[in-house]
Amino acid sequence: MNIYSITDADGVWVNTIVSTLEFAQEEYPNCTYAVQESPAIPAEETERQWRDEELTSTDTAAQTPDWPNRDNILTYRTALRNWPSTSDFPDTRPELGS
Amino acid sequence: MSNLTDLISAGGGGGSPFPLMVFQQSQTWACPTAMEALVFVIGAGGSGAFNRSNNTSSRSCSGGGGGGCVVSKLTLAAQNYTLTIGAGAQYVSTASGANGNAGGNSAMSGSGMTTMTAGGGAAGKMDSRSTATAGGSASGGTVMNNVGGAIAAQAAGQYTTSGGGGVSLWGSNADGTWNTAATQLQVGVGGSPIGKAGIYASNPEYHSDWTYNFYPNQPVEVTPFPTIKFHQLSSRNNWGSNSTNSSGHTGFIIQEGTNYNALGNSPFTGGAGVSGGTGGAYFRAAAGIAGAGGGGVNCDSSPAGGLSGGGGAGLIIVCPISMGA
Repeated sequence: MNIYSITDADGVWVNTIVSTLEFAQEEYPNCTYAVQESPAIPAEETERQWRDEELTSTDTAAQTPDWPNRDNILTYRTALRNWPSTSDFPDTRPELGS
Repeated sequence: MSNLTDLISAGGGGGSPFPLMVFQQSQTWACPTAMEALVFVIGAGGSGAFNRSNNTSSRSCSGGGGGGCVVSKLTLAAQNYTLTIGAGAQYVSTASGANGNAGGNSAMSGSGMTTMTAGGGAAGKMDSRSTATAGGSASGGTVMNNVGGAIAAQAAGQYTTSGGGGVSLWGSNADGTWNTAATQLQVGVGGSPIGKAGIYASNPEYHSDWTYNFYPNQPVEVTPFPTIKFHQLSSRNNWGSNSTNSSGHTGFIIQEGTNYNALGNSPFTGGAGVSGGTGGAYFRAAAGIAGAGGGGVNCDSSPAGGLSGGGGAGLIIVCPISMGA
C-alpha cells in the first residue's frame, strides 16, 4: 500500500490516494501513477531533533551537582541551545568537551 | 431516524450495537452481509502554506482546506463496493515560501447506490489576499453533503496565518480562522465541526499532560465516533516539558527552547497555524487529523525554518444500523 499521485494523459492531477498500484490502475485507467515519497526532511529539522535529544539526554547530569564532567556538560548544553542561531547551524554540531 | 439525535444514536455516536467499520486504504470491499448503514465518506485535508520571508514582504498564509463530508443512509447488499481513500496532503517547508498541497478525494461506489464523492481540501495559500482557500466538495449523499471547512480571503499581514479547515460533520461550520494580530507567536485556530466546546479528546492521559508534555502517538478519540482511536503521527518521540503560551482553544504554542510547535487539534479539527519572527527559532504548525486541513506558518523575520501542517488522510466510516436480511 502506497500513496499514489495520479495524473491524466495531459499531465493534469486527478487524485492522490492511499492504495495499491492495481487499484489505482483499475479505477484511473490510462493515467500516470507516481508513488508519493515522503518529503525530504530538511537538515535543519533533523539537526534540531538531534540537538533536542542531546539536551534531553543531559538533563539529569545538568541537575546533579556531582555528576562527572558536569561543567563541560553545562557548557555543551549552552552551545546546543545557541547553535541554531549561529553560522555553524546546521552543518557543524557542537561537541562535548572532556 | 428522523433527526440528528437519531443519526448519532444510530451509529455516528457509537450507540449502535454493531461495530463501526473504518476504511483508511482504497480497496474493493466485499460487504459480508446485507445491512442498513449510515456511511460517512470524508475527503483528505489540504496542507498549510509556509512563509519564511525574512522581512522581504508581508504575506498571509492560510491553512489547508478540510475534506468534504458525504453522508448516506444506505441499504447495502452482500456485494462488492469500491472504496477510494484520498491521501492527506504533504506538509511544506521551503527556504522562502510556498503554497501547501491539495488533499485527495475519497469516494464510495457500487451497484444500486449513488456514488458518494468527498473532495479533498484545497492547498493552503501563501499571500492569499483576494481568494479563499476552499474546502473539499461533497456530492452523492442521501443525508448530507457538507463542503469541507474553508479559510476566508485575508489581507496580508506581518504575522497573519490561519488554521486549517475542519471536516464539516454536521454542517458547513468548520472553517479555519485567521490570526491577524501583528505580533509573533500567535495561533490561527483550526476549524471545528462541533464548535469549540467538547471537541477535545476525552483521553485523560492526553489531557493531563497536555500543558507540559506532548506525546505525538498518544491515541485520541473524539465525541462523534468514540470507538475510533486516532493518532497524530510525528517523527519525534517526545516534545519534552517546557513553558507554554496558550493562544486559543484549538491552538497552543508549546515552546521548547527555540522551537515553537503549534498543537492542539483533535480529529476532524483543522490544525493550528502559527506565526513567528524570532531569529533562530523554528516553527511547526499542527497537522490535520482525519480529513482536516493542516495549519499555515507565517514567519516574517529571520527564523531558522519550520514546517506547515500536513493534511489529514481521508476515510470512510460505515455505521451499521441493522444487519442481515
